[in-house]
Amino acid sequence: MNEKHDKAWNDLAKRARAGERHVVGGKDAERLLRELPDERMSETEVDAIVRGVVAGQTMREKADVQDVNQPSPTSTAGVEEDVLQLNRNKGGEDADAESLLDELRREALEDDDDEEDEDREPRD
Amino acid sequence: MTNKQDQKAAEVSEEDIALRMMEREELGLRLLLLKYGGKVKSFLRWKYGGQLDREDREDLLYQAAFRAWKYIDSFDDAKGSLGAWFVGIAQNVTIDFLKRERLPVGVVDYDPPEHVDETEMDPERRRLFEDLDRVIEQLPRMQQLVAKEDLRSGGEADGPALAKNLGTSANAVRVARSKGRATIAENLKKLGHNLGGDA
Repeated sequence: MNEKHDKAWNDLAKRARAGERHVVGGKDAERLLRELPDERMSETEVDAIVRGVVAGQTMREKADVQDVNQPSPTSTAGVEEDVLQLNRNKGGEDADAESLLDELRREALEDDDDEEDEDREPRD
Repeated sequence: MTNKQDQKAAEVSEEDIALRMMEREELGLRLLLLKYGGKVKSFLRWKYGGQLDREDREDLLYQAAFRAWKYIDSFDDAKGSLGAWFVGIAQNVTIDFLKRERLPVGVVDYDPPEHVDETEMDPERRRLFEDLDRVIEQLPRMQQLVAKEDLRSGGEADGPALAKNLGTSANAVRVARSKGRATIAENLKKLGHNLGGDA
């Protein structure tokens, strides 16, 4: 690790710790309230806190934190069974998949025929 | 927040807010947050610097609001203002949070100051930690997490404990730490902050 960067980091960490032992109370707190800038709260933020607190929730509701080591999950909820295997790379053909494809094609054609039969006007 | 609501919060008395909260009126809590919520967030950033990130500050403000709502009956205006009471609550929940969340400390000596160096509590401190927040937010995710945990732990969290916590290897932590520190130091320098390594 770069020594210069480590020194800078240690300085930063020391400054971050500087306020830790300083327990603010009484006049200090009053002074700080006057002097510190107001980091405005959005309506959404205030609403969320009021709703949660009044409902008795001890912790703020928030979105799930994503695991840093996991890739973003790909939702397959809308994908029907077996379809994921149909789009293969060149050279990655699979006899079972080909057979299934043929079957699906056949069924699809048969369905069309059935529908056509149903829609067809009865002949005299 | 609308200007009208802000104005109402600015005009309403602390006594009115406290009484509304004691009467379990939601409006009382809303007014407390409008009047002092932003100040409390600012206080947490100023006092705890990089030991808390934005999400921590939001969680802690929530917990402070929860306690204020629960224990409003214990507020005594003879002892201080409602705002100071709320700041005190936020401070207490933060102390508990840091005790609970800190990882074991690593190789860097952890030497918490016995007293406050007043020169560190000046307005420049606030600017430094605002900039640090932004610089850390721009880091890749793993570097961000390592930097935040290190700051929370007082300088450098124990590598294996941190690796376990983040679900990665100690080596990945070491690399992320090294890269993150370099970027943070360089970017803060560009923003005009004079840190120890610049001397």
